[in-house]
Amino acid sequence: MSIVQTKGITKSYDGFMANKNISFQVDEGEIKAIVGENGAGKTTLMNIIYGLLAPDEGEILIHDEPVTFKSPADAIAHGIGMVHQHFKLVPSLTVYENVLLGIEETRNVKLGKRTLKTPFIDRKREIRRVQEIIDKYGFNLSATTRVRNLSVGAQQKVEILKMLYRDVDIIILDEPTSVLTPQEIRSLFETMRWMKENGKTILFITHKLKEVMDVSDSVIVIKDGEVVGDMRKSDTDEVDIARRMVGRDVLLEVDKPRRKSPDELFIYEVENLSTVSDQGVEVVKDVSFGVRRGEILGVAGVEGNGQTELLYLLMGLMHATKGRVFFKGRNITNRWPKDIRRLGIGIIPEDRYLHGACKELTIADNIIAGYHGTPELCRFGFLKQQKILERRDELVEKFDVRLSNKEGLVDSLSGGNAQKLIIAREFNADPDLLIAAQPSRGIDVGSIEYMHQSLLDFAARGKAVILISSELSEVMSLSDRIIVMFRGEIIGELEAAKATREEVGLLMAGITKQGEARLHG
Amino acid sequence: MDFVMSVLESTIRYAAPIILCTLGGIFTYKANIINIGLEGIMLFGGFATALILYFLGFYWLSILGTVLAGVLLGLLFCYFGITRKGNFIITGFAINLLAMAFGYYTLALMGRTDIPVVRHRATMIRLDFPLIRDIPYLGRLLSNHPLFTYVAYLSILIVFIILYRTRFGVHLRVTGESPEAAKAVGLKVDRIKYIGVVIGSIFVALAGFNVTLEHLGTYTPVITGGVGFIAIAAIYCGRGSPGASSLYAILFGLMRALSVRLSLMIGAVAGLFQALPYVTVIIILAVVAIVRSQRTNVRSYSHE
Repeated sequence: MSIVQTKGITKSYDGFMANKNISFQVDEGEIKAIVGENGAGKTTLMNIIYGLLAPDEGEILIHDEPVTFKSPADAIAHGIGMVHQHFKLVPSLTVYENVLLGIEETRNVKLGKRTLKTPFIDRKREIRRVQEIIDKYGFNLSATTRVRNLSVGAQQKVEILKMLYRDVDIIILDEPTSVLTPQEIRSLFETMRWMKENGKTILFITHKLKEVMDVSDSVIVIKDGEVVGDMRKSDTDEVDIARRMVGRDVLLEVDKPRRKSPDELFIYEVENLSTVSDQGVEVVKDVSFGVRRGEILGVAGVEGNGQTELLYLLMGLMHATKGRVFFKGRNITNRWPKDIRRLGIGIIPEDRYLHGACKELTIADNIIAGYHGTPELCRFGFLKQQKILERRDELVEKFDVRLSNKEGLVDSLSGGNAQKLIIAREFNADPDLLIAAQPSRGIDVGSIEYMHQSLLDFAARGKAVILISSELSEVMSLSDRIIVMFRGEIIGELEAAKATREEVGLLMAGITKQGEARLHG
Repeated sequence: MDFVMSVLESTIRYAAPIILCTLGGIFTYKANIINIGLEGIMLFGGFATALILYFLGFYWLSILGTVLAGVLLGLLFCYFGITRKGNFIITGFAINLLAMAFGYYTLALMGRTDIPVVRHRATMIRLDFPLIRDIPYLGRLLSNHPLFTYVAYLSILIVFIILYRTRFGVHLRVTGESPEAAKAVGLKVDRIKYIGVVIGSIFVALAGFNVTLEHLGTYTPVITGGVGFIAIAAIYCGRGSPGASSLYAILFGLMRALSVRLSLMIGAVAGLFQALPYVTVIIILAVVAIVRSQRTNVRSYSHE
């Protein structure tokens, strides 16, 4: 029987149709996967069901009753809860404060027969209640820990607890696996199955097909804001879903060409690099590695284990407290980004719009950014407009950046095309080393294929690549060697050809071969 | 000894309005709003105090009027800053100009250069603690201050309790720290910010009461003398913690007391000493900024 049903949901932003006439239904007690590429409209749809967005048209039925949600509070009151991809937790608050946010337990004062509510929070009762529910669901958490001290996996549990505490029947999980280790994913799936057995209905958003086949009962495929597939899991397979998602056949695995064996000498070497965060935590600890010409070095790890800070160190955005960095035999420790670029290191940053491109500037401005001082583009401090436009046209053509308006701002490009623009800029400078962080984040499958092929070709030309990614399959399929980061340290190094997903997964979880968990590394 | 005692005594007096402004500003700071209009709200509070006392003469009514003046300007700030999504700096600046212009305009209408309320000082509440009064030295410092000087110091605790022990306090801090988390559980973010700014404005307006009636006994549009801005410095240095920020407020109060006492002693070059509190603010802000930037390994700026 149907517990949630949508009829003709349509939503557009500034003329862009994010959802077009979406109708589907979810049966009580099932795990329903909602798949589609990034930007297909999955999250918009879920935000509508959760009351964060209002649809332009269409209606939602809960238990066959039409409902209108003005805010998430209404959705929660109707038994719908959501765990967002980017957690909506308050880092400075504790677990119990986060779980009870908005439904705090206050102290009551008895005056004769009447009880009066006071604005004061009853902390003891709150802690007890939350700890009870933590224990009931078998989560390994303490109610009084501050959320900023929790691992990403544990934070996700807090999000789930938030919903369970509000006693919802339907739980929406938005890309819950993107930040987890393979082991944590397995544990999440167990929790999902356990919740299902306890009568909960789960809407599970993902773009990883293996997970769909693993855990769901049925699946809806969304492409360009429309439903292009609605089937039981038993009636479909990964290839079928992938074809519907992308609209054509796709290679699920990249073909890694055999390259001639790389040099023995490192072109880029990092020795005992360390740095300390604003909170006084040593976020990068004694990291040493090297990369050779013709080689792709993968840096794997669950997000938040020091990869971002390591990237900042390598980019020159953070200051190293200890250690040295050598490039072609020169000590370049703590050099500024401009110098690092000039020496022949290209950078594809983790956050495209924070460090990669400026949304409010034109495509031409972005294509020369960081290289605008070179003599071909600049003379006596004045930019050569004609040359800049020529370069833009040449690179847009060569790297197949799809744009509606050449003179437009980067803001008008899709994520995948903005990423291509950054790749075009960095490759054009012909660096000897490319540092690419999360290069395929938030871009469509087609662009990912292109991105991966570019990196492989680049390395095949005898250049070195450092690939920092939390997508395990990306690291596994592209790299020659893999180093795994855990709590700021390199916990292991593996030959990609010989490594298995499980091996890397265990290292990502901080478990070394000796079989001990490194809890206080 | 006498010099030290008089400086300390003045410190307690001068720090009180700075503390009230600081605590009021913390409410907006916690909601992640920069309110540079503290100065204007305080001035307007003092204006309301003086006007009511001058024309009507009721002590309690003037307190109520001051509170209402704070609420009014708080709501004005919220309407333009939050509802209309205006720029906070410009909105705050407008409030400062408005409060000052309003004062000058009214004085012009009245045909006066100030609004004297000295005669009402006789009827205002002063707290005298019999036992404490008799303690040598300390008694002179702690006893016989007007009501809102005590309220200021007591408010440090009150504000701490509101922010960290009540439901509203948690919600206010959450709307400032991660509004997304607040929205996701259905908290009404704008409403919480409104309430926070308005409560804060009441504290700030009362600083105006404290200065106008309890210290000076008169109103002119310059009585605030930058207290609202000094409070912003105190909030920033203490990172919005009621205790730490108030300590900075007291430090700035000490500097003001020193400048006044030294001016009295020295005479002709006294003007120089009047710059002391402001110079201290600049030095402390610079020191705090340098210390913080040395502690971080992130280059240029860290975005949050």
